[in-house]
Amino acid sequence: MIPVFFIALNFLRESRWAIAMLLLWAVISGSAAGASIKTAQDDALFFLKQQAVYGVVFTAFLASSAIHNQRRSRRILAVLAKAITRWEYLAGLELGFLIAAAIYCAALAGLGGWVFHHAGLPASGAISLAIMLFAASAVAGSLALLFSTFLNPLFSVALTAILVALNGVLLQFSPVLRQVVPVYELMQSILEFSFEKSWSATWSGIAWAFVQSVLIWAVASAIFARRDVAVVIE
Amino acid sequence: MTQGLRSGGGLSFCDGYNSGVAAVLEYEHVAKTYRSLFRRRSVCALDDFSLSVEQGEIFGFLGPNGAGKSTAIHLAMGFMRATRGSGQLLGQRFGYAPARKRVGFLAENVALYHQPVKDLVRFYGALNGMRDPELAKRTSEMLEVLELRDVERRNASKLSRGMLQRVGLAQALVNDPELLILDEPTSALDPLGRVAVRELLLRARASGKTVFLSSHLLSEIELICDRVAIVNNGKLMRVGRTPELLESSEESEIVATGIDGSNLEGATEEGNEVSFVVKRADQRRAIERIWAGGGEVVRVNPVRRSLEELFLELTEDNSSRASQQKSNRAANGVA
Repeated sequence: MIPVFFIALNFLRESRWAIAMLLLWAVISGSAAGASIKTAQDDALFFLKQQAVYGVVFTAFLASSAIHNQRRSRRILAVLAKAITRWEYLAGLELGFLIAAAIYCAALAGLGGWVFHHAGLPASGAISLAIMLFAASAVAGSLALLFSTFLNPLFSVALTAILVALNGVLLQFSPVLRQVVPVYELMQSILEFSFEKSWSATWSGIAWAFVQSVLIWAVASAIFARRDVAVVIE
Repeated sequence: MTQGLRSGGGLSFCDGYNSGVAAVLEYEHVAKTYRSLFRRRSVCALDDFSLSVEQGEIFGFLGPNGAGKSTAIHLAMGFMRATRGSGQLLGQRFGYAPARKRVGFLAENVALYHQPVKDLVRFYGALNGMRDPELAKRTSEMLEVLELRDVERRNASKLSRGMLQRVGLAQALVNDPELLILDEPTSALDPLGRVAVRELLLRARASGKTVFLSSHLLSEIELICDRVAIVNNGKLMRVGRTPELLESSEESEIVATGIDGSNLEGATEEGNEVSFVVKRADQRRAIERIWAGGGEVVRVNPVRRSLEELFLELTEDNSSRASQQKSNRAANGVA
């Protein structure tokens, strides 16, 4: 299992600038929201929800480009030439983007909590929001990683988005599908967050999200194990 | 040694070579076809490719660009799957990850992460399950052997191609592998670096390790390889012990005195000795003609070609040079 952590840490190291830029953006816009929350509570909420959407989209892009970048740069060869199985390699990438998502969600929870506290509002909602966001990011990232085993990054993200949207459409007809790829449900819940109305996190959706992330990773590993990773340039 | 290796010992393909030593790398009728999206176009990179690399030898793997060398190596490393056939790496099927723990691999066009050199070598060692203090010791040794001490803290992205190739070798060797698979390991090195790597490979062989070496530097291959395989258009053209391959079974060089060399095409004169090449089938007739003409045969030797000549002969379809040599020799056989 230790190689999985090494691959994950290396993935984070490789993606550090993208992660840093997103965090910087969140801090700058969070500070601006914090400064104006007393006069514009809706703006502060909008900030939090906007950052949540960014977080999910960012995670999907980060996950979808991981394999592609490694293959294009041919760095994947030196890694897979070691005693690393394909599932370990994908587990490393999965863990890598999950850590990135966790860092972002933690930063957002901290910022949100500070903004809410600054406005005299209950800060506990920010933590629930961050956990839901992390769960949604985990599923979206896992899906994007799955599709990137056989598609290029852009198509992987597009297919992920279509699947999430499709789930939203199908929900209108059958609520049973609520727990299948629960990104839509989790995001809908995040976007419905309000200080006035009673709001609670959808814990069953969060639990399903983590279970499905593992299942999606397992499917991705099975597909990736059958894929050629070397493109011969002779 | 695994049972798989024992059972594979002595198995050999194409060249009839059987040393009784275990095979560490084996291809059995392997084919690889690259297919484009929707399978409209396909390129056959390897076709019915069989080869066996024995333990403790340095094996040279030659072929022009696009011959299928890298494909064969990538199949062995498990980077891709064969369309047909199968193979074994250290007694295990291609793609079996734990077997790669005992393998050192250096790809053509070294691509490594942008990290300080020492961290990078440690990273790749750790991926192979190595831990301190063994990892620290081996990393230090490799940095020393490959003369990377001065740049161990420098980021790999800031190194020259030659230095990067040294780092690539360091990461391939850090786990003290039984089998080294090197794709163009010295292509970016200066002459001193090449000599150092050559000595490194010879030391590896002396300690019982196997080296599978793909290179375009034919002189280097000729110098250090015990056996050589030449591949072209995805097919194995020739495989055998290096001296035997270079010794032609079809042609002989005859050195004689007391004859007029001007009548012989391609003949060279040195003092009163005339040397020329004939086909082995025509050798007896040529010698009888020398005797009949009052000359003396000084010596008759099988022609020894350079690896470059053999390579060109096997890979160039319409080599003017090869055809010229052939026509000269044919003419001499009946001279």
